[in-house]
Amino acid sequence: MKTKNIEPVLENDTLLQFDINKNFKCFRFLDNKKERFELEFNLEKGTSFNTFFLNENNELIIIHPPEIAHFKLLKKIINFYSEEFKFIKINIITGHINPKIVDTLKSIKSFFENIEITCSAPGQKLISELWLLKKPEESEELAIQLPNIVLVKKDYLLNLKEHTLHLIPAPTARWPGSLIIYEENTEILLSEKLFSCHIACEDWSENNRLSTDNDRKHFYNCLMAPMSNQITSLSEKLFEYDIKCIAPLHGPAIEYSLKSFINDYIRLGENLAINSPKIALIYASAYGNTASIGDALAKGITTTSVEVESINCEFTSSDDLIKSIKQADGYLVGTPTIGGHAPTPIVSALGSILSEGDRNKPIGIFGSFGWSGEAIDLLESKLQDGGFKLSFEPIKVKFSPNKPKIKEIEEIGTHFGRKILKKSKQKSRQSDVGMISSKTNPTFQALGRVVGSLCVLTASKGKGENNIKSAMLASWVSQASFSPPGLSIAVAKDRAVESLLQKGDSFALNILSSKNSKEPLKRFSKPFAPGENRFSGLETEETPNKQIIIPESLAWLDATVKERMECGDHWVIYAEVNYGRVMRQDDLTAVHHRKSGSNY
Amino acid sequence: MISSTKTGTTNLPHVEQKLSIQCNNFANDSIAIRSLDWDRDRFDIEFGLRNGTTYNSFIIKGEEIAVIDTSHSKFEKLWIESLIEQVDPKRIKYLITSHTEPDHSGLIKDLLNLNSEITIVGSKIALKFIEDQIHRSFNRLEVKSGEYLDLGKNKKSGIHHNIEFISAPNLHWPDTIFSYDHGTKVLYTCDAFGLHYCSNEFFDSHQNEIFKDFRFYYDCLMGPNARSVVQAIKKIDKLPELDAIAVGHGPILRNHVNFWKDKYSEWSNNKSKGNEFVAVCYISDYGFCDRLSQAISHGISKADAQVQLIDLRSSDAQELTALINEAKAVVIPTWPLKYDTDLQESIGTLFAALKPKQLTAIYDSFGGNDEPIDSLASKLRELKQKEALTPLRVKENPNPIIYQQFEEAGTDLGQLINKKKNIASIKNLDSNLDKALGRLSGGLYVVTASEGVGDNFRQSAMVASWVSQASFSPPGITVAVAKDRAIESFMQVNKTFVINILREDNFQKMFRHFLKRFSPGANRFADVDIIKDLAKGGPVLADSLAYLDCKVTSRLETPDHWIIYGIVENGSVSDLSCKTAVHHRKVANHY
Repeated sequence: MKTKNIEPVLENDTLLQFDINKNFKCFRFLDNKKERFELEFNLEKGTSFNTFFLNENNELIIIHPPEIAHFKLLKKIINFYSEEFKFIKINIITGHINPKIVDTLKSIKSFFENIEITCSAPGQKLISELWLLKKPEESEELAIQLPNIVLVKKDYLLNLKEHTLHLIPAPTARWPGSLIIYEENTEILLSEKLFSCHIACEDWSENNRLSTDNDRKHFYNCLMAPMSNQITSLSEKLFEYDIKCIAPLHGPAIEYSLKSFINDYIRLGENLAINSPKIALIYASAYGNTASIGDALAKGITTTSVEVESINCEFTSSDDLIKSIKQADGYLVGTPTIGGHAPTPIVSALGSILSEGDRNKPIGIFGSFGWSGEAIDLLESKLQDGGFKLSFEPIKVKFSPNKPKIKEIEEIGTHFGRKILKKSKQKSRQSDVGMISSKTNPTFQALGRVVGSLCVLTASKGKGENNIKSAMLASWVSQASFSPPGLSIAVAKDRAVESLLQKGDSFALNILSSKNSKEPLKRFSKPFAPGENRFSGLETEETPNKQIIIPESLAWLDATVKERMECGDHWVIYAEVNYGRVMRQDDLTAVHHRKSGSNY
Repeated sequence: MISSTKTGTTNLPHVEQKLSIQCNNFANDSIAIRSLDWDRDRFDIEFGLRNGTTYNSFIIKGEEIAVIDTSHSKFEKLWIESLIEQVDPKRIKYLITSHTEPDHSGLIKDLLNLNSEITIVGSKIALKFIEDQIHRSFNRLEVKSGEYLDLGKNKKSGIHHNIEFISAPNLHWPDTIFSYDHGTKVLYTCDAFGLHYCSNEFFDSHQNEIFKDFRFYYDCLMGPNARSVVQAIKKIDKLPELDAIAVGHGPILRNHVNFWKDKYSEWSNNKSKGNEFVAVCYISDYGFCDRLSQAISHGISKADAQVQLIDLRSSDAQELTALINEAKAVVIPTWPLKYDTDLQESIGTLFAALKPKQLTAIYDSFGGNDEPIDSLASKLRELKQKEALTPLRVKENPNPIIYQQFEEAGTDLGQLINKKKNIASIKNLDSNLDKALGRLSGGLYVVTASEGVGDNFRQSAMVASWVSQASFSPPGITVAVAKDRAIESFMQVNKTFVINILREDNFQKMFRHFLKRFSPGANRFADVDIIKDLAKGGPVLADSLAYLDCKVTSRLETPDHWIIYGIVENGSVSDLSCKTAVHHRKVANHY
């Protein structure tokens, strides 16, 4: 299918229009804002939101309306339609539901009376709840009436004159109301969050797969990985349809080699460790903030190869919940505080944990709140009274967290994951006595003879309150090119600093001297608490690129990440060196000799 | 060397020499017949990745029917049967030959046996070559760039198939023409944009999967002609629109057409920066000239120097004079003692165009009855040419060892040309940065690799210190290898190599030995104590402290090196009390 990118109807470069056919259009809202706290925006390429319009039989159908921030443009589009042809009714089909989208629905309703909403049953529940929600300081306005809602149960056929829409409920833990839409004549699939990626892309469709691979993988790892089973079965279901084009909610459409594309997507989930321990992440989220904290925890956990099962307890039957609790090797519970209380589903989930949960398994709690955080306190006291030991201080976030906070939460997740891993390893070691220790394995002994320079890698990213700093000891480094000068460095996937080493990020490499490597070795090899300042008490200097030089440095290099290659449990990063200086002319580089390749 | 393989073969999986055929409609009224050659064991430089290949031919049904290219002669029966299934041979009006390399023109004779009325369409040179190949008369139509062949309207589909021709000399044969069907917007390119990749996947669906094969093919066959690629792409860009590129090898490119085209542009533009180049002459369709000149060119490109391949049979005098004049160095093959007037003229022009003191190198064409290489050498000496390399001799049918020797010689020549440029760029390095990066120390290692059996057995080695561990699970290491290293071609994905770790108390001997400059193709292990069958990947040095037997799983490209990630499959330490030799440097502009 070819779709032409015609001149935008509106003079605005943040809105693009694509004609699928005469009456079926896509409007894409572009957003170039880079500094967002949610993990899935970490690659800093902005985002885009695809909304679809169909006009037929005096009716305007809006599929996937955008968040309230785009309302001005949305209103212009609706006005544009009303000039072109008369419609007497607006039908809004939506699967993606959050407070900002409900605000959009309210705003449409406030200037156009005759609207109808089509959504799934969990969607209806969410919309009805959010419709009534009011922040306390909000003045009492005239209440806007909740419009008529048409419910989609199972697959639902919407027959129009020239188009036939299949509305397919696609509930997941993260987005219970999700609706996937397939149009028969154009054979286009509006896949919602599935296959999405956050790029402010101006082309209708991607012209090559390699360019978006990384972004889509990142989106998957941040949001889909904790519910990979659900994603896999949803994706497999799509093979029933003849699809020519997939248009997701965020990012460009996909028009080529769709079968292999979907299979590759399914495979992203298979790569997650099999038979590894599992954590049940149980939460409810009113504004999506509690869910965002859950995402960050989950991302941190999955870097350690521990699996996360995301459970939205508002939409999970108590039988399923109990089953998950029994199978899990650890628990995380997240709750918002609404009107000074925990939402009912959380209270009953708490009951299930208290009655069915294993007190020896690690547990942690988290939540966001607006004005007070009573729900988190409630969870804490009930669990402690019930004999559970919390693995970390409850995470309480007021409104939405900033970037360093999210980074800290991610690290808490990693620590939690490692704890679970350790427990399960202890278990398997007891049962598995005959295993050859990797210390005496000749291959690992030989690998240990590969030596490297002892270095401290430091990274600093973001400005002001969003600045994040981290550091790690490194000896798996080597020069990798002459012209331009470059180096390679291997970083474990579960390292806190790994997320600061994306393509385009800068870092400093402090090469240590053989004379005084002890002090920095001691300082940087001790375990850090999540979010702990790695440089406290140190008199550091900065490279021209604002990267951190530690005082013991024999020489420092300032470099920028150019490429990354996945190598087993590590990423090998190739970086071009921008600046460098030797600080101690007469010293020799500290070289790290090891007995075995199974340790750093 | 390993001579007999009989004893070992029982354990090896039986390699099936499989051939099959696949026919499909891929555009309106257009059918592709793909001859699938699953044989992964053949050796030509460009088959280095060992994924087999396909030979694709095409049928376009307008009012008249045309066939584009045939297949390799080993597909004789299969191909003819499939063709007859698709079209009555009597109704074929034209056979368009994109170029006359035997893997695409191998069945022309058989086709003419079915219908002797077929008109063969091709460039002037192509038609001449066909004459020499099939030794019979045929109807011919000579075409040039910008000319059309109108096949008329297909009655069923109503589509008008009008074919435009575009000459694309040197991609990678001198006689290459592209054909563009204005009715379907398909471009038929034969060798260009192809890849040696045999699978049942008809189209380029798995972009990731085939990318490295696409790149490798480009590096081997198109890279040496980067200038010609740039010219050809300019011509393609003038065409209305491309829906697909129907290539002669590998899957048909339809899903990511612009991506593949842009990559060709990008790589070729990178290679054709600057003006200094080596002119590599060859004589098409004579001896092993074609392959040998490619090996030299590939080697030159690896050193990041530019190449211009020149076919002495088909270049016109003016063009030849201009190219030889501008070239920094000229590589000349031995020519047949019995030659025709065209070739005689070209050789005369070549010698007249050489400038005194210009660098020259010569090689054997091994065509059976060549001008002796020594008499060519003395001729050049009389003309006061500077000898860039010792003459490259071929004494038997070229085998992988000879191709490797030629490639290495090419790299030497490329490095010679680039010496000044490299020194300049290294001097440009900020001296503070240079000193700081120099403080990044590594161990001392010798990387060894071997492959092939019997006559095809070859091996290589290099000193390395840019080695580091890269993973625990699975245990893995990375090595950075300069692109112009001979051993680089042994370290493609799925191949194996060995890291020998040198001893702190005894590394000088090995270090010095392997740091020596080896002449192309020289045995790196003469006078070295090695253990042959310990590691799969290559020889283990008896004096090393430890060895790691590795298998390449992925490669990352940097501007002048490849970072190669290998999984350590085996290894051991000979002396647990000894430490690894360490290499400390003062500056980072050398190893």
